[in-house]
Amino acid sequence: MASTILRRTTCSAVKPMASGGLRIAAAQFRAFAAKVEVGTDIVAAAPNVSLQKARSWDEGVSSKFATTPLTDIFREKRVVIFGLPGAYTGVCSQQHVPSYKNSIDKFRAQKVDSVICVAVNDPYVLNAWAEKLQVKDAIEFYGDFDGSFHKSLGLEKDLSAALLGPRSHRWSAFVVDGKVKYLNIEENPSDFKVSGAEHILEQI
Amino acid sequence: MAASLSISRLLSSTTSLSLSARTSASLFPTAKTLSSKPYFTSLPLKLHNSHPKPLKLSTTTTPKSTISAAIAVGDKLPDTTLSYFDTAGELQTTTISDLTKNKKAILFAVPGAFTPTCSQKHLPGFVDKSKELKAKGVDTIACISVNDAFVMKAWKENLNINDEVLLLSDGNGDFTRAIGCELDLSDKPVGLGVRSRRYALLAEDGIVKVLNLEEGGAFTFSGAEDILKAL
Repeated sequence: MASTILRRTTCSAVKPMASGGLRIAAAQFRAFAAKVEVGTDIVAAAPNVSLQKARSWDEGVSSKFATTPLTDIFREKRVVIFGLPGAYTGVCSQQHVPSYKNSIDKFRAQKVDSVICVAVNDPYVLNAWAEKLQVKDAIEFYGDFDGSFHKSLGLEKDLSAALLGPRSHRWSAFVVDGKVKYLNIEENPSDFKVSGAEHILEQI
Repeated sequence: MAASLSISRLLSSTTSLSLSARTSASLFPTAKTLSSKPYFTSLPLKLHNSHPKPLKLSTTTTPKSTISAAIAVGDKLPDTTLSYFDTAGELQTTTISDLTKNKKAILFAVPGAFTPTCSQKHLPGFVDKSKELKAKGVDTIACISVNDAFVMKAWKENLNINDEVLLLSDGNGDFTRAIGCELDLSDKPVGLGVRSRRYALLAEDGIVKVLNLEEGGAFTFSGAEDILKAL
């Protein structure tokens, strides 16, 4: 078993996600401390929060736009969850999600019940993105459309300067029965160093 | 400073000044008295601002939760920045001024990319009618949504749109807020947050000539055919 590796990082200047190379004039220096850490009970940390499973509008209508409470997602399950700034953006589409798609068998071999991707997008955008990336059979997508899930974990990140609005950090975690066992947060949302599938596989 | 001002200079100011002037050498300029012409009367003369501001300010900050919009026919569109990805895949920004100055522009807004009415009726309607609209002298047709530019690009590709309609991102909702057309769906279970009301407008040189603004996301008269009729 890999030893517990917890990376707590400080936030430095935000690098833009856009491929056009926008530069943000004012660097945001803020001592970054996520509220979530190893040992946090995710369900308890976000009591009134629920996520919306990525779905098409019609599916939403037929399910009466039901939301999924965190309990259903985490209780008594081994879950690998990763969060990213935005659907259809560069690193998210080309590196982050594919890394989990490619490792899905290894996750199953480690008896991981579900691999979940969460982003501050609405469920329809996430659904369309998941279909485009052809990963719906491997990864479950949930929309944190108002950012409340990420806020309650202290993982929200304002990317308004990159014209994305309030989003989240790039992060990954291994959660067993609702309790965070391993947590990896990138220093910059545009980095892809510690939040990939291989890294968390090593930790499990 | 008062001594250097000549009598013939007209100073415009926003406050009204009462003036009295004497042509005699015993002119007693006080700190703020000025005159444009030598008046022999001591009647107070009110000066009004010679450059009247446009009727509606573009920076309305009062939140509107009723049907009344801040923007109306005759208003000048606020100059806000929108973003998009160009054909080379580079993130670009454009301003309302660029889109509308000295041009006939149609701007229409949808609550959300990848949602049914937007994807199946509103946007395709404008794509289909784009040639007819352009034949009637429309220079720019743009679809605006409170989605980020990445999503707008993906949606454009998803619907196989080329250059018939520009898909522009009002990512932070600045333009939508500035024209008072926000649609707050945060308390609804649909998961969309604050978006834009559905509308279609025709602007000539940045002034709104036609405005078809729906109450929310309904699709009754904000389509391409309706605006085509107005041209």
